[in-house]
Amino acid sequence: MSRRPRRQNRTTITLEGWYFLGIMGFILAGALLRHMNLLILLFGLMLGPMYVNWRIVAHSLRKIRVSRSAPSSIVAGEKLVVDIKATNEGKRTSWAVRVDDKLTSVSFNGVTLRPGVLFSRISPDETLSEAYEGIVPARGRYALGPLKVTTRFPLGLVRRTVVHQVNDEIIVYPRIGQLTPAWKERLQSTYHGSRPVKRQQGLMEGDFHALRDYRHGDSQRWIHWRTTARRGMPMVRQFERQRHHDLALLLNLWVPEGYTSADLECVELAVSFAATVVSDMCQRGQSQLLLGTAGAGVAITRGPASRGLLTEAMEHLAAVSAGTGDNLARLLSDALEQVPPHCDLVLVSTRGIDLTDHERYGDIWQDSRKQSMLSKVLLIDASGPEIFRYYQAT
Amino acid sequence: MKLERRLQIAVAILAICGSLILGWEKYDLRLPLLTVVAATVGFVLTDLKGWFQLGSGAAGLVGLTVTALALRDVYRNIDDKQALFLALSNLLVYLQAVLFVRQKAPRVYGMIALLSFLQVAVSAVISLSPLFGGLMVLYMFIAVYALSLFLIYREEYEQARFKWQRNVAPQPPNARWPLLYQPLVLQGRQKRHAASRLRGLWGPTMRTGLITLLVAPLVFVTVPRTSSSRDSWSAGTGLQSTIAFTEDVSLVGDEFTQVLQDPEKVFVARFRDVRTAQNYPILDRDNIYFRGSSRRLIYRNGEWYSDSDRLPQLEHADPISPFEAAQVSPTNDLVAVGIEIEPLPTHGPLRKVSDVLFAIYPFFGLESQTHVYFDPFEERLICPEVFRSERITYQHVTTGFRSGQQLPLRWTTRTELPPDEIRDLLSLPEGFGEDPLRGLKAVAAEVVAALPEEERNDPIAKARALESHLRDSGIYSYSLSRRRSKSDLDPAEDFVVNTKSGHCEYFATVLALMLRSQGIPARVVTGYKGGEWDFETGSCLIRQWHAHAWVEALIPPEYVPPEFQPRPDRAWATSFSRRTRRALGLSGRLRSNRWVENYGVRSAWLRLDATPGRADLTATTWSQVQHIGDMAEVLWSQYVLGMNPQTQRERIYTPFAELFDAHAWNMWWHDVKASLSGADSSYRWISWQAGVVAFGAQLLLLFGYRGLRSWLRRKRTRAPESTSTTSLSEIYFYRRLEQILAEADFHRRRTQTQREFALAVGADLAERPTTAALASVPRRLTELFYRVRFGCHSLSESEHAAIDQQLDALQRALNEPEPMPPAQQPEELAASG
Repeated sequence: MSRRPRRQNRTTITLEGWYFLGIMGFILAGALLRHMNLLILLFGLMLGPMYVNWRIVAHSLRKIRVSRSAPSSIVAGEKLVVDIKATNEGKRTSWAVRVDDKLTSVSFNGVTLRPGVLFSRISPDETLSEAYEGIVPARGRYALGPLKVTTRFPLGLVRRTVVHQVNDEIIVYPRIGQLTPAWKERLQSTYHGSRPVKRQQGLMEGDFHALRDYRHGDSQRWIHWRTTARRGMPMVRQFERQRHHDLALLLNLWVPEGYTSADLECVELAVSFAATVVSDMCQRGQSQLLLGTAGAGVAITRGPASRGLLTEAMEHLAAVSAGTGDNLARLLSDALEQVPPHCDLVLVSTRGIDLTDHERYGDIWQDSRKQSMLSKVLLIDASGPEIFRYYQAT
Repeated sequence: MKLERRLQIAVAILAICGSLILGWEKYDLRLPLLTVVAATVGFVLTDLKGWFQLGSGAAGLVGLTVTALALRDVYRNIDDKQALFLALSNLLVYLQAVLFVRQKAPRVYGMIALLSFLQVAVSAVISLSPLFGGLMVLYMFIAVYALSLFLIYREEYEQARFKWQRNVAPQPPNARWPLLYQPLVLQGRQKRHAASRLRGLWGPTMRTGLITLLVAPLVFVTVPRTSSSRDSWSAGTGLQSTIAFTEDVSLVGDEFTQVLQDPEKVFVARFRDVRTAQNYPILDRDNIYFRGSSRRLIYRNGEWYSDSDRLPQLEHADPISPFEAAQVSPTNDLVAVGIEIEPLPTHGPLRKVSDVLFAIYPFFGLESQTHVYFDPFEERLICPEVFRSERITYQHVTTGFRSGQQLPLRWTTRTELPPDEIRDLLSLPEGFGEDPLRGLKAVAAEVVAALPEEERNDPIAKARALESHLRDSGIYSYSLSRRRSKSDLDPAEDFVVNTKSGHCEYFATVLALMLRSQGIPARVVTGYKGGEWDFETGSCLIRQWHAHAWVEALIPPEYVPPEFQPRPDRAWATSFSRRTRRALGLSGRLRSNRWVENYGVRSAWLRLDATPGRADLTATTWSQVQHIGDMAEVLWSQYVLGMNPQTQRERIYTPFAELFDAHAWNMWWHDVKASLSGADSSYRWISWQAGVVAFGAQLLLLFGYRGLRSWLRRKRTRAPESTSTTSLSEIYFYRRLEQILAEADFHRRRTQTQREFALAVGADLAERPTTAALASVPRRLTELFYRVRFGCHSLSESEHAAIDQQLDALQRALNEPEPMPPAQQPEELAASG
């Protein structure tokens, strides 16, 4: 049997209204049974406000228009501020207008919150803005809307609800942590592979090429003090022999059947670590980046490290979900086909992996190119403490 | 003023008003005073200063104690409903007082308002006064305003404190990344609104109040009544009494109560002149006395009662024969009185028990198809109660009128009154020790002493003097309030000595006792006086509120005035009798007159009414106010307290049903057509000129109203623009720029835009060495002006400062004198020369 859908725009009696009606009924019954005219008069004096409350709430919201202003994306853990605007297009003042929003997590467990704002008074032809704010701790896609406008003014006995289909979506990116120096060292050693690292003599690595903004991790010795003083911001010297690390970052987001919070924690750590690496790479630029995930499915995002790729990759990471199936082999196969030979390969997995397993990764081991690349993969196990060597969660 | 402060004041006023309604009804101002003190202390010490606040635990403890004490009172007075109400009232007020000193939260305000409302509800149960209605209207407005504030306050309170929170995932005990398990928390960012945000809250309050004032009476008159409107609960508790006929005359009751007027229809009387068979023209219509009963002869402690258990000796007979009546009163008119009396409710809570019927005395020729009897010993017309559930119709002929006025004297029914009855008619209460009526007797003696010597032995003169003293001296006033000054005094004595105010039973009782104290046998009579006259039918409708009490004094034959002396005229009587009887259609035979030889020795009853008329109030301002109050009281009694099924049917349902009666509409349309064609002279009052003027005036009013409304609306919408101080202050700099340039003879033409003007000025400034460096200032400031004026850009403090600096520099540069051109060399001068 299908349940009849509730009307979106409706007028209902509040809990206080039902109490009020109960008292009214009691008074009327007493008046009729005991023949007390004054109680009938009191009943009439109670019925009047009830009626007026109904009429006022019905009229108050007739000309109220609402809109929402929300960021399209934020990073998990950062403050979310959503502005609600209400405009009174009518000729009478509306009082105690409440606008309730609905925030639903689309990606994960369907967590729903109904935050709201209150407009105590909206004069005719007036537009007011109120906001609600908070911290969204988990990444994912969140749906906003619809906006539910209610009022109970003046007596709180009758409530009028009008639903405005104003819908938005917020993408909450994974948390960005901090990469440790060990990460850079490890990445460099991976890049050089078996080649001996030629230590550069002197202070600088190569010839002076240009000046650029200071980036996190730059040595203080590279700062060009005169330009820094003139520009008012730290500037460093850039050399000809910049190393451009092309990176393929692969995530194996596997969880067992009946996974626990600890399993999900590993997944989130892996995703957050990946987001941090991607963010760092895209800020540096001048390199190629491939991001591949194997969770519920396999997805790959690639391109030159840039702001555009950062957005794309973060959206990818915001929505990626873990899976119980083993999709790593497919991910490796697809990714290794797309990356150049000199590209650094980092595989972050939520469980220990043996890449020398010829049965499991038979297709890769049969391909000499892939085989050579697979041999230089940097494997990071997110379920162990190793990940914290390279990454500091915030 | 802050929202919460306003709410605190509004709730305090609401509570005071509620307890005032309660206390007013109980004539006990302690309760409202207690509420005033509690509300003031709570507002100042608890809300304003925060010096003293009861926590929820302490408040609960005090509340429980108060409740226990009140319940103890309830238990002790479980049978006394008045005391029960008093205990309940006290409980409500005490609990409210506790809440005033409690730490405030929305719930506390709500509880205070609820307790206040319960006080009003209790007042509605025990209330009688029209002041209740007035206070209720005031209370309703205050309540609506307070509840509106309360709603906004509660919404803001919840918005400011409430957080929407949901845990995304449970945190495991050995979590490596605790931040991941932070709950999803959202909170409204409520702004602090200025008090001006509450401006205009009176609008919805007034709207709500006014509509309520329309709805409440509508509900009141349409809710069907199941029985008579008299409040059986209150009547049962003795809290309410009404003016209605009863044989019992009692001045004893609650110390402070109001006697209300019951509009219930009792009977309709029609008067016909026997000789002409036309309606009898009664001149003094307000002073028609329909006599009921006078059987209570003994007065003691404020009550009249009868000490005889004698069963009435019923005679289906006339008190006097028409023949006798014609003989003893040959100059009086013969008036046939037909009475149609309404049935009494003989069951249910409003059951009335009475067997008394009403007549104009002296009467004869009684005729009825039901069981109507005359009791000659107690002089009352009766019908057994078992027959009172049906409408009774009877008629009689009276000789009590002469020239359209009812005569004050009539002969006694019996030739001689027995000595024990005379003794009862002279009896006065005796107390232990002091005379309980010493003040009353002294006043009576004083009044009689003031008579001329020759009248002091005349019972009629004495009776009239005492009647006049009570009615006309102005010392005593009529009031429906029953108030006693000293409860240990006899009520009649208390009336004469202290209160000097009361209703007809007080005046009748006091007059009867005064007459007795002067040796004149007297008794109190109850019946009806006056009525609502229908001039077309000549009938008189008597309602319960026409019930009245007056006095009959027994006058010995020798003191009866000559014009009332019987004048035997057998010839006239003989010629009169049969024709009269045929004309009247009276059945039965004309009996022989037993008393005709003895009429000369018979005594007479003198009717005395000491009750002052309410219209007799002197026309002072205060009396006019009193009169208005009385009018309100009567209306309140008639239309609010007195609303019963009959009234509702007559005044509400029937007229409403007539709206849908096609025949009535046809008749109305027929009348209108007749009036328009001039065929019906009764509608000549309709004036076409007046109609045109009225129609024009209505049109004028309508258009005037609409014009005024649209003007106000336009003014309201224009007002923010004209008073927008923000935009003026934001573009001040451009005005100053134009002012500075104007001082340097740069004037913007009317055809120039600001930008064109700035460019032109900039070009000129660039050519001057002193202003060349500032040539771009007008253009820059104009660009800024455009952004502010049309781009909704608001300037920061630093921008303001920079603008001011530039303007100052420009002003200084423009004020600097132009450098002199370099001096010409003598060779050049010579060459030029």
